[in-house]
Amino acid sequence: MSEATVTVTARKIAVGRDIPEPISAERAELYGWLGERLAGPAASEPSAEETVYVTPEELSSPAPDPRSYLRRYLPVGEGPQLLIVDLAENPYHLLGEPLLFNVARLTCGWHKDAADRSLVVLLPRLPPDSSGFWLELRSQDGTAPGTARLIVLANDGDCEVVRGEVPDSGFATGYRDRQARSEPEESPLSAKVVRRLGHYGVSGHGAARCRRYFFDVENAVPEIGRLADDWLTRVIEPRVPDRRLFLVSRDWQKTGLHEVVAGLAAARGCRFGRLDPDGRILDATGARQVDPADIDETVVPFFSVVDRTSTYDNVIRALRAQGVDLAPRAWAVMITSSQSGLTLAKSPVPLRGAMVCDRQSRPREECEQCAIGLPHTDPLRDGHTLRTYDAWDVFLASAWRFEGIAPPPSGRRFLYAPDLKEVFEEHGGWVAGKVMTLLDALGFPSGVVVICPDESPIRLVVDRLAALMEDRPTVIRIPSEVLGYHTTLDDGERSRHLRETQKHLWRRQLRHLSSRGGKVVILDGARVSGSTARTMRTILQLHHVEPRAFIPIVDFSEESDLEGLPVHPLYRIRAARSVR
Amino acid sequence: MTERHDYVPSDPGRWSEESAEDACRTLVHLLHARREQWESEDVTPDGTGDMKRSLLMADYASKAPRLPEEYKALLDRMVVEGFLPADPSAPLRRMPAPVAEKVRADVGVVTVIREELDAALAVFGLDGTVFETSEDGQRFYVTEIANGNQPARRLTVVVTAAGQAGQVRVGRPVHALVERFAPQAVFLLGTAAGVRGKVELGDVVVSDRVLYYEPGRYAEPDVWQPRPETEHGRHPFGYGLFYYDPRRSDFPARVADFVSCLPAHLRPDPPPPAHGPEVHTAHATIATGEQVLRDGMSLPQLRERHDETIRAADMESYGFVKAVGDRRWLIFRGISDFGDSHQFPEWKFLSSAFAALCLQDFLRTGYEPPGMNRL
Repeated sequence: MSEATVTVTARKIAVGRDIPEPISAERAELYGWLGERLAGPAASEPSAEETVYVTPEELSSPAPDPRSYLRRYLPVGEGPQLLIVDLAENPYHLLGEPLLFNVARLTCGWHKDAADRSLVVLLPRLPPDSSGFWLELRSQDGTAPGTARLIVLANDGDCEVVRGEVPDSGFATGYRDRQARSEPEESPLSAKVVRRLGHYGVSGHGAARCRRYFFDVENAVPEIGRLADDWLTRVIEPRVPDRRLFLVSRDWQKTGLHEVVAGLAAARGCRFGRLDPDGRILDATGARQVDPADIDETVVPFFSVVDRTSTYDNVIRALRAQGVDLAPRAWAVMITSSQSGLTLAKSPVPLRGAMVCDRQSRPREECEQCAIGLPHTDPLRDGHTLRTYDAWDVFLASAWRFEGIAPPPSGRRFLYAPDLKEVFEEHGGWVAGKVMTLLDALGFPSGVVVICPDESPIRLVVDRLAALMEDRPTVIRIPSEVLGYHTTLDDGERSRHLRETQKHLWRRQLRHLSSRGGKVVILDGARVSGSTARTMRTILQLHHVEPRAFIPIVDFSEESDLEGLPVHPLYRIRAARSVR
Repeated sequence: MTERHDYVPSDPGRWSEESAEDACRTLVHLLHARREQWESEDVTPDGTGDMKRSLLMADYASKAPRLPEEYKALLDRMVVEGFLPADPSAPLRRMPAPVAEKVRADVGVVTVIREELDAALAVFGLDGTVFETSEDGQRFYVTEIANGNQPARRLTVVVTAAGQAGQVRVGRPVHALVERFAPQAVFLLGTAAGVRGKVELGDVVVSDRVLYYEPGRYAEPDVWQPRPETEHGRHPFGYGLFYYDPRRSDFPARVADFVSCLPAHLRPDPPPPAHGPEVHTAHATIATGEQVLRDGMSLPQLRERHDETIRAADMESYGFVKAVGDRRWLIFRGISDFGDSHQFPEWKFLSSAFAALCLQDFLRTGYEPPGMNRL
């Protein structure tokens, strides 16, 4: 007799979202692997179509009750079942104790209803022992007969088997590796570092110079923390036998790195201080110098940005001159010259840079922006609009191509326009950073829903935006052909088309959105005739969704709004009528 | 020796949108410096060069009207020169620099008594020890606030206190604020007596209509003929006030947050309702005079005698409006009593704070700055 099929169901819960989103192929593959490892060859293909979402309002209620959003997604029916409840891709701090407790209660209820129902809960990390999550889970221990399992897994491979057979020894590490593989391939740091264009004046090394770029790492603090922690654990601690460390950080004006390093020190129970530009060690507040004679630990220096070998050498020399015991290695978030990177790696105290990139500078007399008389850009503050020089420098450096995106009826389109795909490939992070600044200024710092055409140029920006905002913006991509239909079809054909697309993801997302409300903005690469934007708005209106703003990266239109909807372009060239 | 950035802010602590001068100077420069992209047929046989130049010109044409006349004439001429053959031996040309007048603040906020100033500082997150000061000791506290109608640039807000109540006394401090910061709009912020039955303690009255009830004449001994004067805001929509709806913003949540952070003895009992204090923006006139109204009769009588839309009364609004002159103005008053003998001292700070929270919310979500939505 053949073994009964185990029905595998995966439910990925996405918190702080307003609509369901598709499950990635990598995630679906992970569920398949879990099914196979836990239920064996009898496991069915996992069923998982889209996320179960928990809105910000539900999250912020005093006791979020998952029954409203999870119960109807619980599998029903007879026979052996394996339910995978996936919370692993949410930031742990968003989950919160009430939500964890309620998810545990609800899923355990499902688990104990039959003897052949197994449950696996995937979390970003395991909650502390005191959590009500465990209380609820362990209260089920042994209450149901049969051979079903109840397992909780964390992203780092920590595995708690609450009930049932313990999986084989390779299971937890296999899960950890697969979990890591299902994350974006790009380095977590480079996706979060924004290379901002501007006119950055620097001095201090002889002649005053200007730089074109500034690397903003403000959004990458969690990644920096993880990388620095990993380096400290793998490289420094094995080389310092007594592990008595004094961590010191050097940052320029901002405090991000100081906070990261102070956190690392606190976690290790060791001291933290700041380095001043001359290499003196200050206390944690930076207000008072620490007497080197009082430092008997090994000093580990961390730097935010190292531009030149000489600067680094000077600081190391100064530290040594103070007579402190210096760690055999130092660490920097960024080394902004690949040449220096090579040299620094070979210096007496080798410096490890988490990122190495080239940032050239030129003397002021050779700087084009100085010749124009443009003021220097503030590296600490940035608005959402593009400076004329930055916008045009980027446009003129790109290939111009035939402008074929704007639908034809208006007759208003350019023969040629900058290739926005090329622009966003090169500067997508910078543009996304600007959009993020704009959303913040509009009062949508989180929980915003972005509606955009499913086209490659704007997709590049949206992907970077998602990385910068910790995956917080929810994105609904409307297929280009849909936008085309709506522009060209008559009312009857349009209705027929809408009926045919009832089950498409973007339609389902819009239907959820209409019942939820929420902060919705339309985003597009460019507005020329405005017909794409108008069509997107019409589609939203058909679903009773009212957007708050339209954000074109470049606006060529003569109009300041979109039929009454505020328009906030990053750059505006009022040229649609005058240039063909 | 270390490296430092040489950014010199024209207005410390503030990110500024690009000026029309910088934008136009850039465009004119590019028309000259990148001319090889459109002048060489080898480079652009398909006509993309012409399109680049046309778009640059269109960009310049849309931005140049914001230039000072003289500077515009200079740059216009350079645009035309861009069509002349280039001199290959000419060095990189330096662009002429303009002299631009800068507005130092977008919004001025005038309070009167100490509780009102304290509330404004608390709500706007200002450090009471950081200020600019005039020769006679008037303090100005500067901050920034985002504005949804003009997200490109945060509004600079200056808070000050008149120090003394009264129509005449408020004039000089307002004048000092205007002279020093040239704000585009000035708002009067503080407490007022409310009309019982029409408003509640803690409600906020926002108005651009003031009735100065003091003027009149004695036609005969004991026969007083009132001749009140009125002031109305000049903007039909009150710079966004007409469309402003605090129930659609997070105003109630901000009020709740603010109250929850107060020490117990300052918290109102009962607490403000979940939807926040009522904000009266429509048909709300503020009666203003020189008298402290505590008899319980005068305020209702003012409504009956002059204007049924009177919601509150104070002692500064008319002098404030006169001192503001042609600038934009609005009045934000939190109700702290009802013009009778029953006083609520604890509500002086609280109602001022609610009015300040309302002003802050209006600046964030409703206020329409001059020239908004223009790049």
